[in-house]
Amino acid sequence: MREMDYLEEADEDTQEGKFLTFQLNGEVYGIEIRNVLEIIGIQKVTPLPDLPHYFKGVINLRGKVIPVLDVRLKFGIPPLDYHDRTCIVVAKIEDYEVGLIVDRVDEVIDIPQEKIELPPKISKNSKSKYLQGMGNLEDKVVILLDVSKFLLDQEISLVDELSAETA
Amino acid sequence: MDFDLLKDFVADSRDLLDEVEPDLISLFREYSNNSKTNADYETINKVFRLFHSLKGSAGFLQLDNLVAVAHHAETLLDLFRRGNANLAKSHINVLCACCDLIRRMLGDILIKGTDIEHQIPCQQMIVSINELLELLTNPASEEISEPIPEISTHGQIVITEEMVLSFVQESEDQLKLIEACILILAQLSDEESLQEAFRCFHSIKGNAGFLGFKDIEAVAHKAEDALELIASRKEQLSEKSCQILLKVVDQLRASISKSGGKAPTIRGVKKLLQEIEKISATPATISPVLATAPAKESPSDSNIPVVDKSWRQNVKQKSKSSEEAPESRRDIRVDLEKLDQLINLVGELVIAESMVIHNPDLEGHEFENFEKASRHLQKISRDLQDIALAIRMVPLASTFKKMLRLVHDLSNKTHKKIDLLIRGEDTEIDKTLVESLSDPLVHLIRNCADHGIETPQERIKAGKPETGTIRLEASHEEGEVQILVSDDGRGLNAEKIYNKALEKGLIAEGQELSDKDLFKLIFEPGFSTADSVSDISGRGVGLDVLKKNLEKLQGHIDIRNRPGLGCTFILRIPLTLAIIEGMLVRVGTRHYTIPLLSIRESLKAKKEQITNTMDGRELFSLRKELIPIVRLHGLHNISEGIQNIEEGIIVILESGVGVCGLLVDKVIGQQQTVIKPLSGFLGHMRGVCGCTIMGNGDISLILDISTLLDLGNEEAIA
Repeated sequence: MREMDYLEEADEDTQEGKFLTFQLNGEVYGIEIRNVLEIIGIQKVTPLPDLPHYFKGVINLRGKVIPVLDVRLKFGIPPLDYHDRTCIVVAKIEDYEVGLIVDRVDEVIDIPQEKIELPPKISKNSKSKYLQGMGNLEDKVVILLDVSKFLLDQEISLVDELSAETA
Repeated sequence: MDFDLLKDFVADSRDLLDEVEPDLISLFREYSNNSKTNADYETINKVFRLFHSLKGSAGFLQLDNLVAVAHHAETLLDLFRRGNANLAKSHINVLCACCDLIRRMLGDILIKGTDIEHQIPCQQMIVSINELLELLTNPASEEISEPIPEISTHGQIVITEEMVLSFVQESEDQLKLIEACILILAQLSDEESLQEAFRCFHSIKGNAGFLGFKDIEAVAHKAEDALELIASRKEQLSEKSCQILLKVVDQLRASISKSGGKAPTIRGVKKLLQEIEKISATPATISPVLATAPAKESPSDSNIPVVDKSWRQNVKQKSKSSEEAPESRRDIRVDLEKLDQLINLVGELVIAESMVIHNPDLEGHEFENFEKASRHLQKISRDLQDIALAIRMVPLASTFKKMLRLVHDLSNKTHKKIDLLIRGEDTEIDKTLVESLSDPLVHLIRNCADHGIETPQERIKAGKPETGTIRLEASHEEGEVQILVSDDGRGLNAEKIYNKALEKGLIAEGQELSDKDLFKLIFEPGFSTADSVSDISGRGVGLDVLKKNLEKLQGHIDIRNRPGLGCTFILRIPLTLAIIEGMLVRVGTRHYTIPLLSIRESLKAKKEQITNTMDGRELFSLRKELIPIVRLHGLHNISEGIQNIEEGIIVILESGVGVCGLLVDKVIGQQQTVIKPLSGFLGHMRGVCGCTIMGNGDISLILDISTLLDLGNEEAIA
């Protein structure tokens, strides 16, 4: 939980330009650190009815019940059995706390603004709207995700659709 | 202006108003019964204090209009407080109106931060108070204000026992302060302590002068002079002077505390006064004359009762006991969110504890001391949990007391004589529920007063006492709070309701209805049997609102009717929406919690009791009743567990909507758990209304019974 301590020390100002990186199917992804509340190991998930398949259910986070979703399934990557490196990144989006299941968490890195390239515009893939940009570092490329888009618009409309269907 | 300050002020003032209104009503009642007791003085004083503190805080916040109104109300009350006049109905009504006006202003103040807009109503209020004041102080209206037997012979001001008592208390505090100051002054010359002592003597002098306690006034006056002199000389208090001053303090204290309502006298006043004069004459350096003073003093000591230790102890005990009966309330305001956090943490603590105690690493070992310690821990954490939940509970008294005022107003408006009897106001209920309970009660009581209770003439004709009675009773019943609102009026008129329902098209002609079903109709929107719409009720909105409000609280209402004798409304609401008494069941590998109140019974089904209809629905026949069976397997996508109905257990669920049988693998047991909301992020899920955390930290979903019932019935019909 080294990352967690690190997060707690950092205040709002110093969080600018910092990203938490994690891995999904061998690729490195990053989300802005100010959206991240904490990182916990995988734990028992209680399934819920009436939700898209990538919503795995809810977990008990020290007395708070928060929903978790599997980012692999969300992106259409084939599922992988959970192992001891599997992590849940607890992110805060607007007023909601949501857990994101990822393969493994790497580190917190600085990506200066000039190293971030805008996402290619031509893509018509609906999933590309989650892209905030590409962090072009010397040794690797980090796919930066815009968590607010990633979750709010899409999921809520999905949930709305769902309840509309059932109504 | 600081908004938080305003918010606190408004909240506090509202509390004060709530507290005082019932007192006003009870005052009125006692005065109209001509029974004057000491309690009345206390009540008047309490009301007086309210307006006084309201005035003070409002002045601080520069709410000038509010200050003006409160000030005039205070002036009016002061007359009664001093016993110069007797309270009459008109005064109470004006004071009630004052409360209302202030309440309205508070609402606006919260929004706009100022009370400027209320200038005109405030001035009107002040004018009407002034009229009353004039009447009271005018000797022509003597017969209204018959003087109360005077306690003191002094002047025009009538001194009540209450005033003397408060003087005694105040002075005792001040004397304590003086004593402390003098002790400091004996050590070093401290300008501030000197001033403090001076001020205290001054106010004792003032109060004593006002009450006509000449001896005390004289002594305090001299002491004041002496201190002033010392202050002007800027010298240290000599030891001798200190002794004299302390003696003065002791003397004052002795005489004041012994007064017992009569004007306190001091034995050997002159001697004491002379002694004080010595202080003024004493230069800083101790003169040989004064060095011998202690010897001279002893005779005077002998005729002045010396204050001994035991007496001091008495004073201490006295002040302690006055602390034990505090005027101010002993509660604090806490953010509800913090309480929820506390409850969360305690819940987690219980889980963590069970994880430690039942840790798999310990299996197969026996640790005697560990067992002992863990039992101890368990006990403490259980107590902690109980208390954490109890913090949210508050007595219903404040809500009930509001109704006193309501009934008072209603009885004025309807020209009926109505009494309100309150029982069980200490019944405790969740804070969030208390607030939303007030509205339903107002509607019910209005209904009782307007429709239920007859006019005095009608009542006498019917052989009932002229005064009607509305009862408001609360009690705990099996994890619920039951509130009864009953009147001894005419009761519901079944025929009238039936005809009205027919007219409204709610029932068909010739339809047979049980009384229970018939009375349910009065909760329909727009339903009213009143022939005319009054400003109290008759539009048929009240009971509809009541029902809606109750549904929000997950409460129920029943009616018991005795034609000609009255009608009783029975409200049943859960103690809290924060915890649930639930039955834990297992379906496959999942755990669900069913609210205990919706379970009728649970049993095993035999094959012959199950009917499979050709469209795939299952019906369970139980004592000639056909109950649709609901499986969670399809709804919640569960593949494991028992599919065959005969192997599982059927839990019969029942609510107002209907009945259904839920197939589960196993009933695990009853438990009380904290309800957690599911994240709003997830939207609505069928058949689930929340979740709880089980002892092992796992989550169990709380089933939403009304949806399940709907599902069961839908499937059976569709």
